[in-house]
Amino acid sequence: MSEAQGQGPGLVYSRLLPELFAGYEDGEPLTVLDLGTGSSSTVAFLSRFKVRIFFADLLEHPTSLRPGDDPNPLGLQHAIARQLALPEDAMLDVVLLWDYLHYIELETIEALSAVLLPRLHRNSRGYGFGALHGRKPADANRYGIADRDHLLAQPTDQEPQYYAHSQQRLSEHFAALRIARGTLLREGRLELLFDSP
Amino acid sequence: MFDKRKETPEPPPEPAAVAPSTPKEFTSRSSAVIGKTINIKGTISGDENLIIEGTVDGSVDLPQHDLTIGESGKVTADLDAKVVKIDGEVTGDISGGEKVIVSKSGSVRGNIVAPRVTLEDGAKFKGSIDMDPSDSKSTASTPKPTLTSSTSAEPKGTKDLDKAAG
Repeated sequence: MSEAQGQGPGLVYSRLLPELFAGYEDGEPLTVLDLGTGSSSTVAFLSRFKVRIFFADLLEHPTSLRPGDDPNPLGLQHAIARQLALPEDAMLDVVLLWDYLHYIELETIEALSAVLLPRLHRNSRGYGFGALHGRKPADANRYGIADRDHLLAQPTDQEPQYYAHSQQRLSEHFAALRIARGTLLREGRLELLFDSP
Repeated sequence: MFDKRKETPEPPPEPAAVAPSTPKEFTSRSSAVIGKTINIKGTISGDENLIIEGTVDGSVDLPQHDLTIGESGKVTADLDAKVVKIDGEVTGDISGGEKVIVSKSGSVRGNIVAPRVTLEDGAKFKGSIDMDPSDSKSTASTPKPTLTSSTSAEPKGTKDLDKAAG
């Protein structure tokens, strides 16, 4: 755990956030997908760029994104695409996955990957969390970016099912981005930096 | 023949009814107010600042002026104003020539386009924010050739972490 000391509740030091935005100078164009709720701190941080942010809280209607009896994966992909609601011209530089992948089943991860793939380019990057101890449930948090090397974690009262996918499983089922680096965070979890495969 | 009552000046209308909920930011300028009990369907346009405390379904077009959706305001409309401040509920796209502010009591479902956007803590927002309204389309389709060597390299430490993750 590497929580910043004396810098306020919920503030977590991150080694990988600086790499996520490395090479992007203030004022440069940047397109970001945030798989979370609209965060004031994230908007404030990203406002230094000429940014286009898409907030898509896929956990808002989780039942619609569960694999059903329909063996056709296209149905799930269409459901995800509808909730992402990305315009046709949107190519993503940064995808903020947070811990979303651990709240969905492997079939949904694959469908999300398929939907994101055509929206990514060779230098797209992602940021999210791994699960080091699969048996340990995670605290449900909303995450935001406080500054270049700090996250903001705010507990929520949501208790969605937590799958704690191993890093190997994520690599196998989330092909749109590749895990490039991982460092230890609190609660036995990892922060993960993704890049384009 | 002459009714004295008609010669007596009528008291001015009472703007005080909305004054307490008037946002501080705009109190220095005169603003038109759509009161809490007013429902409007259609297009609103004009040449002065506007505060909406009632219900509007349609569109609001005030590109040279400030628009405030008050705490009791419920708007299902596309909004275009110089400065837009949301204290109430908005469903629709918002265009701000200078800036858009969603305050802690505000709720927005829609897309915001403005050079500056502020979400206050507690604000509810679902949609997209575009702070590069001038050329977002051209930049969105252009990949950035700015990867550093550390992130463009092969995955580092993945095997070790996989072992730890079991």
